Amino acid sequence: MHDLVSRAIEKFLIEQSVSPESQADTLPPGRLLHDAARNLDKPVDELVEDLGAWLVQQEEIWRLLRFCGRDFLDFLLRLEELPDRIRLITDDVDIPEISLSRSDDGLLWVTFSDGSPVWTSLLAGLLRAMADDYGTLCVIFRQDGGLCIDVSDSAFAAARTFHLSARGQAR
Amino acid sequence: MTHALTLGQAALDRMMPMHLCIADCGLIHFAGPTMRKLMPPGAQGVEDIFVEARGIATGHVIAAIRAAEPGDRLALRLRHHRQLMLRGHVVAPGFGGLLLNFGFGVSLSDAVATFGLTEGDFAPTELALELMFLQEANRAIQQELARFNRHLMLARQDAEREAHTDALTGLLNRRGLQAVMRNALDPKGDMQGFALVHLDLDNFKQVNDRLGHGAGDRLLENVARVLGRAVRSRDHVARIGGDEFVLILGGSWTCQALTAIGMRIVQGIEAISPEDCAVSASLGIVLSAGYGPDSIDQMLNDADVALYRSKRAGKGRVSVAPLPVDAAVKPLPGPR
Repeated sequence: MHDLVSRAIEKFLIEQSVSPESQADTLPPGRLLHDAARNLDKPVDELVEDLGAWLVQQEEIWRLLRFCGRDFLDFLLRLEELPDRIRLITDDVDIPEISLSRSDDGLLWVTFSDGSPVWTSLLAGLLRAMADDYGTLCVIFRQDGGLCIDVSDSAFAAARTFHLSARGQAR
Repeated sequence: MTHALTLGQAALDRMMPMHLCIADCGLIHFAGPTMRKLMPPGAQGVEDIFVEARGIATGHVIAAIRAAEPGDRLALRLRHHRQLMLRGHVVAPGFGGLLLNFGFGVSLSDAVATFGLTEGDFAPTELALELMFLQEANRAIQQELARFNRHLMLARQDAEREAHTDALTGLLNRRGLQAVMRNALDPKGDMQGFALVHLDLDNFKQVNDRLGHGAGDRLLENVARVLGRAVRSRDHVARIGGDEFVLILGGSWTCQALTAIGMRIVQGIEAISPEDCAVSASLGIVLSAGYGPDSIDQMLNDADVALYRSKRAGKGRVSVAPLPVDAAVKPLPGPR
C-alpha cells in the first residue's frame, strides 16, 4: 500500500511539473512533498491541499469517495467513518481518527485525533474539491488545528452525476 | 410474552424495500419499491418474477416458497435476468398469505448495473454500498498492483538481457553463451545437436597498436556484423573476450559443411581488415555429440585446442576437433 501512496504522490508531482528524483519511490512521501514544495516555491501545506484536491480528480478515487455520502452534508456527517473505510481496504495506512462536531451557529468542526497538520491540509483540499463535485457552496478554513466548514448552499449547482455501478455509467 | 406488530405499507416499504406480499397461491398482493423495479410489467404471480434457482418449470416457485421452513434461505432467479440470483426468506404474517423479503447477495453489482439502482433503493441497514465500495477499491488496487508487477517484470527482463549482452557489439557475452549452451546441451531440450565455433582474430593487436582502440572497437563491431550475416536467425553469436567469439550453430553438421562456413567467415573478416593490418581469423570447431550439460567448460576447452591448432598451422584456418572417444560415432555423410 505504501507503494501506491508513493506512486500517487509521484504522479501528482509530475502533473505539477515537478520531476521527482529518480529514486522517488524509495523516499518517504513527506520528504518528496517537502522537496517539491521548495522547488515550486510554495508552502508545504498548500501543496498538500492541492494533492487533496487532485485525489478527487482521479476517477477511481473519486468514485470511492462518492460512495461515502449521497450529498456533501451527508459526506461530511459520515467523515468519521473514513478511517474505518480505509482500514476496510488496507490496514497498513496509519490514518488518525477524525472527529466531527457541530457548533450552535451551525458550523461543522473537523479535527484529527493527532492534530496532524498534514492530514488537516490534505482533508481541506479534498473537502473543497468534493464540495465542488456535489455542487455545494461552502467555506472551509483552518482554525485551532482543525477545519471549520460553513455550508451555505447545498444545492448551489448540479452535482456531478454518479452511478453506483461503474458499468451503468459507461452506458 | 409475545408482541404483535402492525406495520403500514409505507413503513414496510422503508424497512424492507425488497419485500413481497403474496397469497398462498402465489398471487402478488403488494411489493416494496425496490422489488417493484425488478418485476416485469403486469406481473401477477411469483412465477412471473422468479424461476427456481435450479430448474425452469412453472409452478415450482410457489412450491419452493411454501416448502421453506422457518430459517431456510430461499434462492430464486429473476425470470428475465437469469444471471441475477436473489436470496431471501419467508414468514407467514398471520393474516393469511406470505411475506417474503429479499437481498441481492453476490449478484449485487450485476443488479445495480441492470436496474440502475441507487443508494435510496437500499435500506440503511444493508451493506450494499459498502460491498460495492470494497469491490471497486479492490479492483483499483489490483490494477495498480498488476501495473507494478508488469513494471518489475520488464525491469527484470531488461536486467537479464543486459547481463547476457556484450555492450560493445550487442552479441551475447560469456554469461549469455553459458546460458545458451546449458539449454543446447540439455538432453530434454529441443536442440538436436549443434556445432560450436570458437573464433579468434589474427593480428588484432596491430590494429589497436597502430590505429588506436577506437579503430579496434569499430573492427570488433564489424566482425560482429560479419558473423551475424554468416549464421541463421536461430543460431547464436557471442563475444567472450577481447577478440574472441563463439558461434553456436544448431543441427547436425558435416566437417565439410563446417569448414566451408568457417572459410566464408575467414574471408568475410579479411575483407573488412583495415589496410596493411592483415586481420584474419582462426577457428576451432567442436561438435556437440558426447557432451552433456556439465561439460560446457570441457567443450569450450576442446574448441580452444582446435583453435590453437589453426593458429599453429599458420592462422586464417579452420580446424574441426575429433569426436570425443566415448561419443556414439555417427558416420558423416559424404561430401556435398
